[in-house]
Amino acid sequence: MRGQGISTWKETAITVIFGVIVFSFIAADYIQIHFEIPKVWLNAATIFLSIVLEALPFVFLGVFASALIQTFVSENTIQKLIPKNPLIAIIPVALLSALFPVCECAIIPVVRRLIKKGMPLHLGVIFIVGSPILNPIVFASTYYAFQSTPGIAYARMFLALTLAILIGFLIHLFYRNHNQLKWTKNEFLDSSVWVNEKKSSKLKILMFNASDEFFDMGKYLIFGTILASLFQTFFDREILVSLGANDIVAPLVMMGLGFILSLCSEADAFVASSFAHTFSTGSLLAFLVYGPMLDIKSSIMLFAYFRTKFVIGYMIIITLSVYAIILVFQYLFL
Amino acid sequence: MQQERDYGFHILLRGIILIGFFLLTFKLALTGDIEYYIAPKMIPFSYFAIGVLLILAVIQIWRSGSKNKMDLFCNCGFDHNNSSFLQSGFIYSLFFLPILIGFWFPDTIMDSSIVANRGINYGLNSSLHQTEFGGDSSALSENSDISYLDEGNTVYNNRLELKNELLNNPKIIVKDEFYLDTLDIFVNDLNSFIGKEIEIMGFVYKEPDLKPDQFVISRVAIACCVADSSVFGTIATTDISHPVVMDEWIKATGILAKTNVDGQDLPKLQIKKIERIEQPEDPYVYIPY
Repeated sequence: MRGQGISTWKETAITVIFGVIVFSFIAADYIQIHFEIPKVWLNAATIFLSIVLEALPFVFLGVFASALIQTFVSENTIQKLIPKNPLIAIIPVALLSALFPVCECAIIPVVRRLIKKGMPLHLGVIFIVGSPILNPIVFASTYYAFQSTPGIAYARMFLALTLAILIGFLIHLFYRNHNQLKWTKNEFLDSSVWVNEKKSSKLKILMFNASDEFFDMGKYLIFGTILASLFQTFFDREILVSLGANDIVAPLVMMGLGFILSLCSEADAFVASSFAHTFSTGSLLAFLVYGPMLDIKSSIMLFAYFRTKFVIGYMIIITLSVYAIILVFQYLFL
Repeated sequence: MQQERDYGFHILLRGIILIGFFLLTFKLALTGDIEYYIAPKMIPFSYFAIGVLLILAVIQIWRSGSKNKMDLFCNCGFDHNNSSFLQSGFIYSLFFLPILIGFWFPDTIMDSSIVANRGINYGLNSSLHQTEFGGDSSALSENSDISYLDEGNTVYNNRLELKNELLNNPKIIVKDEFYLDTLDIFVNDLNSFIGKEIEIMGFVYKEPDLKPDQFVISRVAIACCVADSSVFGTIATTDISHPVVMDEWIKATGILAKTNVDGQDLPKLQIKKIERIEQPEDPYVYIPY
């Protein structure tokens, strides 16, 4: 089969690559490498691989959900569910995002597919910013990490909901419902052609879509993870301590930290708690809401699906909204 | 025709990458080495990923040889016709990177080398400096209704029960399952525990901010994967002429006392007996959420 469509050097390349992988699988444990890799680089590689391994199942969940929507949910169904007035839907959708307890790796491909199927842009964005925080697992882990101040967990949920609504509103204000998605080959070749093609069954199409989408977003995910693991390894968090006292600067500092560390929303509360003795409560909350909404890994993934200009505008809107809301919250409650 | 060949090549290459990911995750799961990367509670999700990888890899390779033209077109996001050799080469190396690192890099355990960048914690949130915010640290034990499950199936319904259990024991052995809670209880209720005999295990970390004779008996705690690891520990001093070395694993028994670090009272273990031990099979402690 192979020879039919592939030239000789490509066939050689494939054989070599396959050989290297199988050899690595069998032999790597028995061969001692004698050059010393510095410990920090080993740490960086381990952190990198751990994020990839951790994200993989959730990426597949997102990719499959997206492929299922692509294959089985029609544009009409979506149209019927969305109220005519774009603003009416904002609050119900923000609450609905709490019913999807998924992290950013899984939600982005799903939302992109829903938008493709006709869901308004601002409602999709509400899912992206809301669902990674508004879920029971994140609440429980935050509650546990800040046991002596359960207010943190409640405030995190409250702020995430408020921000999801505010951000949805602002996205609607600035972008209406202009298409901000990149086109991909799939849409270019009308997918209805695929389904009618007699030899390609729906299940097969679903598998193809899933695997294409995995590679589509995988490259961005891996690139983002490389950056995140380098920051994790080489960025000295103790530097931040001197900036922790200032109420105006500290939230920005912690938002920056949430951005570069790219932690899962279920795990970031413990990292936040290690800053509890040096940083103000407001800035810890800034870290806890901003990180899951926007970090290196997820914003690079957004570039996979959305137009560059939109992603930049989106990042600015989220950053300003979180900062403003945190300052207000600090002023009112802390 | 040329275009079709290219699609076929890309699809086959992707199939091989999927096989690579499958072999890697399968091997890590089989040997248990996956615990060097992710917490046990997340491992079932990996089994799902392993299954998906195998199915997708098989389908992808079968697809690359398909005569059905429609099967070949893909939604790769980058345009095959215009992307240069270098571009696709770079993108594919991104996918090979985790596979090769996973196979060839030695298993690495997070130790004192990460403390320098992450700092060390003596309790969970020992001193949130605005405790008035919805909080009352003295009431915490009664309020938190989190269950604690012991290996011997003893269930502590909440912190208070765990604390009472600890207080009633003539000698407190700090167990891995309750490591963080125990440390946190010591910090929050230090006065009740002063003078108690304690046995604790961990690796030695010499914190530059502490007094020269003090060191920290520490553990790396993980919530989901090692990327979120943080370091927890108990300050210790010893009169016994036993020079401790950074990163060596010890089991220490001693009396809990009080020390002051940057204006904060923290527990300090006055070591009476110290024993050098092997690094435990599972060097990490896990955060229950």
